[in-house]
Amino acid sequence: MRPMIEDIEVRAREELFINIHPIQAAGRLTPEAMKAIISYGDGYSTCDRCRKPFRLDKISRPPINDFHVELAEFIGMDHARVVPGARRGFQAVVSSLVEKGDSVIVSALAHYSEFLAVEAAGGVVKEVPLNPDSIIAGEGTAQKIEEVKHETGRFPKLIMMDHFDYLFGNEHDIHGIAKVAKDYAIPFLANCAYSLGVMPINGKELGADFLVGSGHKSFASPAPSGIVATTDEWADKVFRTTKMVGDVTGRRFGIKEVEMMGCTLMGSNLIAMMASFPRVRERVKKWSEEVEKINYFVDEFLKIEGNKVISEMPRKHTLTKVDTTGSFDKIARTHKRRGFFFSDELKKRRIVGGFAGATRQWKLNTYGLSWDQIRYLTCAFHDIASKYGINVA
Amino acid sequence: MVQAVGCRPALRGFDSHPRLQCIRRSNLLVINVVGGTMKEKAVEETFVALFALTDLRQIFRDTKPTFKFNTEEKEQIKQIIERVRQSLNAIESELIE
Repeated sequence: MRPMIEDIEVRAREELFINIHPIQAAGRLTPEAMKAIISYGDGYSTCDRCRKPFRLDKISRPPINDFHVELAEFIGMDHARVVPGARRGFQAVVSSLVEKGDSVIVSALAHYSEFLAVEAAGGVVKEVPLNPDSIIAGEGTAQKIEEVKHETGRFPKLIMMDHFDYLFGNEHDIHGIAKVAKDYAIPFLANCAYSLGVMPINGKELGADFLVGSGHKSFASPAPSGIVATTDEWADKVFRTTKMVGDVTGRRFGIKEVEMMGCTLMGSNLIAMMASFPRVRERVKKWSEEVEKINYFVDEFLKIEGNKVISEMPRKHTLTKVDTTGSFDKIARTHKRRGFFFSDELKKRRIVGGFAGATRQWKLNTYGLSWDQIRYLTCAFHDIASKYGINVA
Repeated sequence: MVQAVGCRPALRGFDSHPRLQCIRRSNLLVINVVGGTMKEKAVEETFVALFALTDLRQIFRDTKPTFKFNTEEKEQIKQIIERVRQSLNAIESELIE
């Protein structure tokens, strides 16, 4: 592929290869989003018709204001804002609720940006351990709350839990955790970075006070982009507007929301999100088929002698952690290319996205692949196994 | 180039297009329309062609890595190529001929 400009090459892997990268699958753009980027790539492109009261979510042309309303409705919350990534959503909520020394309950599989959000606010994370099935459950969360109370004399200020985690793609007991949060009257943030935009999500039905999603992980949007949403009860706190007055000039910027730093996701990232939204709304209805496809794939994958799936089974998510220590890693031990033989073989078959050189535990994601592509992928794994004398049942 | 403050763009729909340049000289704003006449049709057709090619890009994504096109996809590809060709013709006629 010829370079786009000087040493920046054209990225055409989505056009040329089946990409099973664990975190890239559901962030792949729709054609509408690609067109939006062509048209709205210039810096402040969303600001052409920014009129009073001069805030991103109030702009009516293009219909950014309507998008915010429809987005909140789509995810079953009262208010939504777009942010530069889920992490900025965590930060907005944590910064509003947590003060120095406060405890925040998180999962033992929490994303690192949840840690950073708590640290930035001066809080302390308290992790709920996984149960034997690698799941965070309501009981474990309640137990941790009691431990924190016993240890610090105070209840945690916030519970922040992942719907599906980044490591195994396992579904956690979000309803049970929400119930525990309610019982203890602790606000609850559901991290739906791996679910909002690929499957139907209703924040209020989940029992969430705050819902956070990722545009570039699961909403067919460019990075960085994300969503933070809340209920009427919490909107005034998290989306509070500035009260600051300049001591010399007396200037006020009353409409600007403090945690959003005024306007948030300006330009092509937002317009691309909006452009993808109609397709996202439709694709979540087909989540069961995506689950069917990953389960077909892992069933075939497990026919290769020595292969294992580390994630919960049957799969409830397309993000899946596998173990090929007993199969492809055995070949890697004596192969002159070591673990890279495996990625070489995949690439020869036009498959990319696995961690280069990894032949023990690694992750993949089949989201968005057609049945033809899933079957092709399956055959490719069988073919590589057969080539190296590994039994395929 | 100076931002076109106070200039009313002649090209509606693509307000920030670089063909409209405002150059500040001696506190006067002088509008310099590059090429003489606005070529709105050519600009519009450029986007139409780019969008059509984006649809082709999506077909590549949907059919990779074997690119075995079914009848419907072959028809879509034909339509895209024709659409791009029409746009290129329109652009050529606006800008060159």
